[in-house]
Amino acid sequence: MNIDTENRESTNTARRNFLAGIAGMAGVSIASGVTLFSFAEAKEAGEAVTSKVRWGMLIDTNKCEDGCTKCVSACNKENGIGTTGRAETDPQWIRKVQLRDPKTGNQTSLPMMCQHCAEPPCVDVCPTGASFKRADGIVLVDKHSCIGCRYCMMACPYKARSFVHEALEDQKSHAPRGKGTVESCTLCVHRIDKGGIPACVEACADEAGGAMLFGDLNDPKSEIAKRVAKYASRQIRADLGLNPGVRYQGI
Amino acid sequence: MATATKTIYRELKNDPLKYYLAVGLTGLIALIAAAAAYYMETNGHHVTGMNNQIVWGMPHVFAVFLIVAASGALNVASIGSVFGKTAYKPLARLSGLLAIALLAGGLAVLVLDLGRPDRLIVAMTKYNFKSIFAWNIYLYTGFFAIVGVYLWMMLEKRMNRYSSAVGVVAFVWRLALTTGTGSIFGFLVARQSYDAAVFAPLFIAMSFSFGLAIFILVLAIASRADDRPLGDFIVGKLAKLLGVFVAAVLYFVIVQHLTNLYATEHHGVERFILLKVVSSRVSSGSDRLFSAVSYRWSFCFTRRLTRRGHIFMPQPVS
Repeated sequence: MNIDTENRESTNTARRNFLAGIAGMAGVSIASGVTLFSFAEAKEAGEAVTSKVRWGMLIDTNKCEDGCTKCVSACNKENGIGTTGRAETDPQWIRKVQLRDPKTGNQTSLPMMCQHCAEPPCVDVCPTGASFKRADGIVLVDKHSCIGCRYCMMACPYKARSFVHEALEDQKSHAPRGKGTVESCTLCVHRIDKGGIPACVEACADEAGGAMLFGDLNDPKSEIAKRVAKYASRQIRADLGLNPGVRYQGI
Repeated sequence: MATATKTIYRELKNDPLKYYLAVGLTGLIALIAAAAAYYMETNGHHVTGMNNQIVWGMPHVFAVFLIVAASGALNVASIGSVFGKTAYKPLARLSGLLAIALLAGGLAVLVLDLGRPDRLIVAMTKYNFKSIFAWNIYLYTGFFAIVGVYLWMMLEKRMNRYSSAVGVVAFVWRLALTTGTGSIFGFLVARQSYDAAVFAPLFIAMSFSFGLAIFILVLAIASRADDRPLGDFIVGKLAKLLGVFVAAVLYFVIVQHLTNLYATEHHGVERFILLKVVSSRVSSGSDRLFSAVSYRWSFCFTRRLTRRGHIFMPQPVS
């Protein structure tokens, strides 16, 4: 009896392995160009996010044109961000930064936004825990428990966060904001959860040089994972050891 | 000084004019402060000079100054209780009271400067214990409680014998409190001009000097108003002590800057802080996106890149 069961089991396992192998090979051969966003789509509404995914971005500064602000306007439109009439207090979920090397005159233009660190200092310093990181690596602010102390803004090496100074009108339902609280790039979490890509990435691809690539860094088959594996890329302020999810090429 | 000295406390002279003048003056200051808070609340934080670069502005300067001074104002009581200097004992009660008043004032500014001061209850109920702010909430409330008990021990004759022991606890607590306040800045790894362990002792030295200075001012005004001369002995002692504390602050400030000046990676930030004329705007303003990139930030950012082998140097876009 015992021997019989063992035999049967071993036979079954062999068949299963065979089938699994075939399926796997088929998957790999079909998937290469198609799976870029399929993992996000696989998540159903109400399903918890998982740390198997690490959303990230790769920005090729060589393709980022000096003076182009398509990503910024797309972000503002998507998230309902308007101007306060004072440039220095305007919300800046994403902004263009100009770097110039005075020794050579070399200029670089790049978009700067929340870098969605794996070890975010804003989350460490937040007294109420309003600043938090999702399992899939997206760093967000819980607008209901933010008391507006701005410690996170002080702690962020990228100056990625801004503060809402005045009462707001006409907000987008998918991007709630509120006077007296701190906000920053959400990586368009409302789009990602529906299988989409961030508005800035979309705009850059459609209207500009396609300098921004979005995807799952944890998925070795994703375009972004392949690119960062093949080409040298850099995390800004890598010396702080925060492991940002946004990487740059060409700086 | 005789060993059997007995301190006799007497209330201030009954002078209604001076009393109402003092109440009226402090009331007026409080009223102006309330109006300022209302103005900020209705118009937005930008009226304080806050913007995307200056995150903690003028209100924080006052709040942190008062909080730091609060723990320092307790020094005179500590000198009496902890270090057994009897000459200071008659001044201990004023010292404790002033410490509580200064902390309450500082916290009032700090809380009103929050984006959502109405959510103070959230700060009291939801804690992230990795945040130094969260530790400080306990350090501040603990300070109120301990100094409150300390005052009770000093004011209630039957409890006098416990005042030394509570005084020691209060002294240790005030050191922890100032360390906590200094660490809010000292642990900010992202900001090159902070991010130094020396901030904790620097803040302690500052609290000694600020607190004693305010204590001396209040004591001098009160004794003048009450025609109760302090005497050269105590004035001379307090003056010398203040001189030592100011020298200690100077020492820590020099240490902080010398350390930075020695390390090449900090030369940029030192030049910026000690020599540059500060301007938060970089560009001509035609492009608001670029104007939001502060020279200061790009400096820190590029210094680090420089250190990491990159050669970018900051250049204000003019």
